[in-house]
Amino acid sequence: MNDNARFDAQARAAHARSLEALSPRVHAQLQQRRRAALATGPTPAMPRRHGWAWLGAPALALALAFAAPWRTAHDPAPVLSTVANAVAANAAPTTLEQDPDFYLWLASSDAVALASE
Amino acid sequence: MLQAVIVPTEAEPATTPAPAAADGPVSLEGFLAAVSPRAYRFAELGLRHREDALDAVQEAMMRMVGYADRPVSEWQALFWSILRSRVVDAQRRRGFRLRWLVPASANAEDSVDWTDLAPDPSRSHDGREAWSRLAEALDGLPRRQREAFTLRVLEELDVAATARAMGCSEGSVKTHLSRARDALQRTLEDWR
Repeated sequence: MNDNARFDAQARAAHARSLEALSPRVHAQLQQRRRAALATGPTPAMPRRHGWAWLGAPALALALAFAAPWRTAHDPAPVLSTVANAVAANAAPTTLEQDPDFYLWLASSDAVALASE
Repeated sequence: MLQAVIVPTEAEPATTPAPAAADGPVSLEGFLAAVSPRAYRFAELGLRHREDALDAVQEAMMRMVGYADRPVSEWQALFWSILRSRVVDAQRRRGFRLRWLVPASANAEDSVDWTDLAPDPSRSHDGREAWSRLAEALDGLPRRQREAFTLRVLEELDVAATARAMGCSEGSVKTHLSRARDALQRTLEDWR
């Protein structure tokens, strides 16, 4: 028998004696809890994780309460926005760089006067 | 993420019959009755607290009821896997407790449940001392090494079942076990 086998045998013997020496109180508790477990049935997989989720729920509700009105006020519906952009693109230049009047104004004396103020 | 390096170990027996599965208990109640004292000692080693250990065993039994329809051959690995995770959860929960609120007795030697029923007091004393020494040595090991030694050597699960219970590869089990044995044999030199 090598060292490992001898060591394992010693450890198993100590473990076996520890099982024999379990107190009647612990035996009774185990029996009672086993009956309770069998009578109650299975518990959900990770009940405590749901507990953490409940802790996060108020923060989520608060964030939604602030974010939802802001979003409705500033973000029009995507479809309407796309249509509006397309119409505007066809109707008139939308940026200063695309507006010929802007370049005319830059060349005017008004722009020079404004720049020198 | 570092993977455990596989350390060459001595030849592991291909399969070692697990005590509770050897006779093939046909009912879950029978299985739980057979395994619960062993489960208590396992939880006690990890938690060093009687009530916490009992709670962990009860939670594991309650979870196990949900797997009653699984093949009996899977019960061992399933149960130890559940119990192991219950013990880890309990250890983490206990980490949140303030240390000074924990009674001093919780960390003392009397956290090991022991009743002397043997007619020979010296034999009983020797048994208690041997178990206390082993429990203390196991307590000094990293958790994974302690789990590997307990499941593989004390509970006599085979390597595959131990790997399933620990949620790791068989190579990792061998590595953890080899390191655990080295450390324990250094601590308990006279057991070799």
